Amino acid sequence: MRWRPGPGLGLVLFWLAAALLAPAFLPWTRLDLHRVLAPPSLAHWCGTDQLGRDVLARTLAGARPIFETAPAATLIALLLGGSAGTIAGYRGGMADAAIGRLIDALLALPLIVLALFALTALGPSQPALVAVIGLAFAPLIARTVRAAVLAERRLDYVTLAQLRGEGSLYILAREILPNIAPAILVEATVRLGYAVFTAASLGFLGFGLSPPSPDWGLTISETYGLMAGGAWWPATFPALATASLVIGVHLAAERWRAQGRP
Amino acid sequence: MSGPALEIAGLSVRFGRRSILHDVSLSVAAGGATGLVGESGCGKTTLALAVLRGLPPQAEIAGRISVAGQRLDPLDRAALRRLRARQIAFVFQDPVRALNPALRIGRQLAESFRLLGQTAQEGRRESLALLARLRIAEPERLLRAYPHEISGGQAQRVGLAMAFAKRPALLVLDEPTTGLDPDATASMLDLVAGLRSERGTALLLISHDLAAVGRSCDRIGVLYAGTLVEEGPASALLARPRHPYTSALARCAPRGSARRRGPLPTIEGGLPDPAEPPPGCRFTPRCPFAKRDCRAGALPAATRLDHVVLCNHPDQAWPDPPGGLPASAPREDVVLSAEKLSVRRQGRVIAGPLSLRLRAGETLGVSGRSGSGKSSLLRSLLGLLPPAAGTLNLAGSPLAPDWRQRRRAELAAIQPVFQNPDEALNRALTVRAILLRPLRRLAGLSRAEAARRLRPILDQVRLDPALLDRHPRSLSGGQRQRVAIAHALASGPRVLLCDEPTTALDLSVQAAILNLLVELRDRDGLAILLVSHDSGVIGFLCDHEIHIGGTQ
Repeated sequence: MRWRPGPGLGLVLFWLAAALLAPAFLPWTRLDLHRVLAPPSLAHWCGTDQLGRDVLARTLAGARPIFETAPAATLIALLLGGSAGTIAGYRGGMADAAIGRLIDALLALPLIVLALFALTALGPSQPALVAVIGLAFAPLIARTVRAAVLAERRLDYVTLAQLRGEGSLYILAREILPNIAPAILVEATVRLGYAVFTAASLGFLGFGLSPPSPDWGLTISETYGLMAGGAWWPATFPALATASLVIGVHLAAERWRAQGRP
Repeated sequence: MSGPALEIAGLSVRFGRRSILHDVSLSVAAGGATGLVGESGCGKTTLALAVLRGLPPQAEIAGRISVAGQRLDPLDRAALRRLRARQIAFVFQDPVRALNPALRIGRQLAESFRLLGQTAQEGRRESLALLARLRIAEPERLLRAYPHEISGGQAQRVGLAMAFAKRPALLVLDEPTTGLDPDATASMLDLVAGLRSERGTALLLISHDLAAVGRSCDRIGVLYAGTLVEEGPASALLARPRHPYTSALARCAPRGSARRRGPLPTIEGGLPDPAEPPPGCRFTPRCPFAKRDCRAGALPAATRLDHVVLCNHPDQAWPDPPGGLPASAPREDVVLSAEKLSVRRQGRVIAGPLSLRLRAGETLGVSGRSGSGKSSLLRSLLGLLPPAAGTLNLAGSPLAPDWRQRRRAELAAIQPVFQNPDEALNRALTVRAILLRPLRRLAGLSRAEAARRLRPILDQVRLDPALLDRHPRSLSGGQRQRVAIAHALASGPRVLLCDEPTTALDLSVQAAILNLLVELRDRDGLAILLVSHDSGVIGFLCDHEIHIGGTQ
């Protein structure tokens, strides 16, 4: 079956383009204290915020920090979780038991609590954010990979490879990986969606980037108080942006999974 | 109830352009038994599902089906449910997977009785009675068990108990004996026969095994590529098959010994593409008697009394198979031997101590019930399952019990062929990649030498070189098993250890694979150890036989 793009991929590509073009929006994100909290109009489609900056431009530019954190965090999760899951699934026995308990322990902690602890200790910064999200997501990927490797290891082709005297690394990389790669890639895409959401949540809680970054989570936390006064637009548009990117990634992942191959 | 239990008239099923069943007419008399035989992919299961009105909505169905005198197609959902609840019983091919893994057996059985309006207590009492009737040793314990705690044979009895909770007019059994050993098959068919005669239930038995169907049915229908090519009384049909396909099916079952009788007849080629069935008779491309008139137009059904044959030239006698290789005697040199081997699985000795000797050019059969440790013995010889006690010898020198301690030449000398080529071939690789690896790794050839060796190995297993760049999933079952055998041959082994190598295959494909094994033994002097539950296969291929019956 030929793979066809869907609305999910369209949304993701839209925000990716916004992230790449972020510097172009800078002229509209300057302070202008004469036009504070102007409602949406022809001049400012999404209105202006409490400092008179154009909300549309800041929302588009806000895609950049997300694209700098979420994919990198997912990659770290993939590397950490992928190796741990592979070792657990292939070796079995003690290694499986040890890694399995570690995964259980990490999953038992609420993700946000874990992240808050780590970011308080490390100090909020983008690399710390990436590392923390990567670490928090690794156990979930490890579980998926472990199950996939375990299912393959029981098949006779692995036995035949062992009886040819192949090393474990060859068997894993050349025989097993091609069979489980599609499942792992789909899982990673789903995680990417959650990483966007988690990065925004941590930004909202103040553990992400510092002002004046247009980061969506940060912007929402700065402006949601204004909604009570009727200025709904500065918080609503970044929130919609976060939602649309998360949904876009999930739609793309689901479509990918349904079509059975990358 | 009057008239036949099942009557199918002119049934055709299409999925888009693919014609799965074409103008099939078949009936099962009230209380009678009809068998439906054919290779996998010929439409047997589609027919069974049509009888349940269980085909997916995109299927285009034409023709009439009546169960116990009631037409199926005009029924609304409620009427259909009533019919399925009271008149039709169905036992699926894989009885374990047909049970809900989350519910205890007792609960699932009770459901069948509740459907008939009985109370839980009545249901439980009748469940116990029925299970006892099905010769379950401890029915109380079985009712408390979950599906994963019971054996395949027990699950099948549970399926039968559900079927006979009612007094069905019609029981449909889909491949009930696949994977059972001969004892289990016989007792299963006996139980069905007993219950049927008690309750007046008619049987539609679907199977690829003509002989098994012949033993328990009074009529047989033979399905080929969606057409019913022959239908008649079982005794007449088996004694004198009229259609070339039926007679080929009857002849390719292994019997006698290859040493005395030569290779088995096979049916060359494969099923036609259901999107483009050949015009005229669908068997034409594989039929040795096909004439010009077979390729054109509709076929007249030749009828002799109540025996219908869809063939222009019935009554053809099949030629004898080409005379095989001159029977060669086993040589004297012992290649692989085991002394006082105790096979251990999960810390328990399950077979042995036993000793065996395997000579070049000789086949040793290993038989026994399922679970007796046949496969474990084979895995012990491979070094995958180190034995509890005993010694192994390869060509006179001691062989380590653990494959990790065996040298490369020793690994190359002993090669396995497993039951299921789907699992033995890496589905992510091409046939070329699968075959190159043992040539490089075990035979120690350079890339160029290995590429040159591919061709002779393909010739050895009679595979078309055009298949080299295909993936296993796109090959037929027989081709896949040939690739698996080629993988084993690539390292230049002296011993093949075959674990039920033809169990997953159709009878006609099995015949070709068995002939191939005979050839490898007689022409190339390979020593073959064959694990099988099929006495026909063992008798055909093996010079000696050891029977494993648990610890002695």
